[in-house]
Amino acid sequence: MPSTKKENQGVAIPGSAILGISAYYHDSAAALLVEGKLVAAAEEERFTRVKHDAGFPEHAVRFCLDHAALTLDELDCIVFYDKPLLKFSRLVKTFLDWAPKSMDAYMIAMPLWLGGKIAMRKNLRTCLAAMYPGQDVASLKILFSEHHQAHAASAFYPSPFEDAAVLCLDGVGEWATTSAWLGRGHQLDPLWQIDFPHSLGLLYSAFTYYCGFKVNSGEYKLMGLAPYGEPKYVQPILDHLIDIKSDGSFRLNMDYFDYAAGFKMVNSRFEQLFGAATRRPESALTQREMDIASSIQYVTEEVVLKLANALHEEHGVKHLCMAGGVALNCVANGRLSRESPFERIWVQPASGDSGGAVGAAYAAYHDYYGNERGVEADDGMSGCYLGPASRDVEVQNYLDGLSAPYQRYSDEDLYERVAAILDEKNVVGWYQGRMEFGPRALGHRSILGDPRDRDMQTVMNLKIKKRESFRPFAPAVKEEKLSEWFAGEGQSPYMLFVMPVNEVKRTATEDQTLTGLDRLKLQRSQIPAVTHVDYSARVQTVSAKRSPRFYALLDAFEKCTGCPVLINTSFNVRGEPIVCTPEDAYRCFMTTDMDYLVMNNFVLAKKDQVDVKVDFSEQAFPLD
Amino acid sequence: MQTLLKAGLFIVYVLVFIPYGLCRRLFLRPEQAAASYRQVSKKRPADHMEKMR
Repeated sequence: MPSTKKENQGVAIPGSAILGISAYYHDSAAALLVEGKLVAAAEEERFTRVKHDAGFPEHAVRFCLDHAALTLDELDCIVFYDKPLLKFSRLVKTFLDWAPKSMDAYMIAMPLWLGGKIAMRKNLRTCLAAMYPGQDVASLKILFSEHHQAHAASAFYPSPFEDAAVLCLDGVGEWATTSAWLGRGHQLDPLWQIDFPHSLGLLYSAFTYYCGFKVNSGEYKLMGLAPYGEPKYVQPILDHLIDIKSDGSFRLNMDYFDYAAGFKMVNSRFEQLFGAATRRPESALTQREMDIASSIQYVTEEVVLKLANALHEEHGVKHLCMAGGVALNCVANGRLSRESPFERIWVQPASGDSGGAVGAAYAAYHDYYGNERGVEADDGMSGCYLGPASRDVEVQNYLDGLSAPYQRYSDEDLYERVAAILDEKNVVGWYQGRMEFGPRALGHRSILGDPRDRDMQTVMNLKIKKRESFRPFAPAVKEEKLSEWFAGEGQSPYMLFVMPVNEVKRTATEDQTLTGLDRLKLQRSQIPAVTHVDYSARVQTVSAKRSPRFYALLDAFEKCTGCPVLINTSFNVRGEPIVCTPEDAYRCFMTTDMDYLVMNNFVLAKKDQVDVKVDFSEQAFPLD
Repeated sequence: MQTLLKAGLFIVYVLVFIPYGLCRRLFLRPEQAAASYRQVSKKRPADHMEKMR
């Protein structure tokens, strides 16, 4: 049973310092909870510059401990975000069930597991001992949460709700792919689950794969592609691929999928069902892929809605919390917020596996150590600004070291100057304060642009982000101006809900002659660069409390232009993790067509950087 | 060592996994129609986080 510092020392609360770790699948991360408050969290990819880095999160762990000035032996425990032996049992059972088809996957996976992953406790100690030589790693308590327990804990404990139903939807953890929980106070009780191979996340990933995008990163693209198409393939999906019950529970027909035993997501039978082979990555997109994207998006939304409605009916709670990769489907979330009976919905912003580090730490604090829970009015995620920051002196030293020309502004002048720069249709790299945790840039590591410019979406996609032209950009809006510009109310601080642009801000009706990507040509609203082809937008509301500097910039832009909205996209190029340090930011600035870079109060113009002699030849990032 | 491990794993696969997989396919019964595909989750004991399973 848990021993506590309270019992041992009579002072500190039990579990007062807990480090959560997610690793060895994708998006490795570390998160630190001090006396029940999340004080630091970061993904490993930001430090190593390897997208979705799956290795032990050495840099992230070091950052978290340094941030709180803690040593390893001051931690009460370290919590790993899944149960390795349970996951191993799922792998063995799957290889057995699918033999002899599973041979290749078995021959690759088993040596890895038997060579170290199965002894995860020892493995973690070895990694930590290498990081902190001389410290007592052997007596460090190491705990293991279940994968979906970590997701559920990450959704409920930092949420602004005392009581809530919790829905977790992802690809797969150990066995569970979908699970429901009930949270009351500090109790989080499991209700039911759906097990592998029946997985909504993997179903969506199978279509991602079939449409030629990368699994575990291209799902956003499929979601962004969906509004260009018509849901023409819903019936074949329902007839052949998935059986959905009235309570939203589902079962996949595995005759069409290969992910359980092989390296491909779908098989030839799946391809025959949709009448064509899997799309080659980077080949031209056709109306068929758009229609398929629209169809699977529709089916996904139907399942999520049914699951949520059943949970509400059975448990009568007013609030819903969500986590797991599928919870990042902000189109489904938007529909849920409009159509489900829940009064309020809160989605963990780091809903993927990186958020498992947060959830594992919370699970230990409340479930294992039994600590009570304090509910924060906004939430416990501190706006996701949980990563490292750069002090002025660090930025200045870096720029001076390069002899990079810059201008330094006071706070009063900075926002006005940057607003004017944006109004002149320049694209600005905006690097401020603590880096965001989770997949979204929320105004601390962002690229900003003027949403009123109809060409800005294409310019930013092709010249700055170097990604597909169809992908929409998200708007950041002053929180109190949300309902003026968008058909939504309240807050959406994490870009997790899609909502329509307000009718009064729209400028055109649909031109029926335009199809597919040509629909991009129509100016749909006063903010065309952030209005998707179906008039939707993935909105971030910005408050002065959560993000004072970004809010001040939006305010200055509104004073300058009358528009309290900016394009906000992550500060990176395609395939690159979001920038972490001033060096990453400057490199990205110099290797793209970005016009200005603003780091803290330092403003750099691209045209002034001609004499910088450092070679910033473009880094090659594998395409995502 | 790695080669030995792989050879051992291969033998286990041929002797155990393949017969199991083939027999399972032969004797697999069609699934019963169900009203729901949910499985009730078990309540975890207090010390379950200390275990890797």
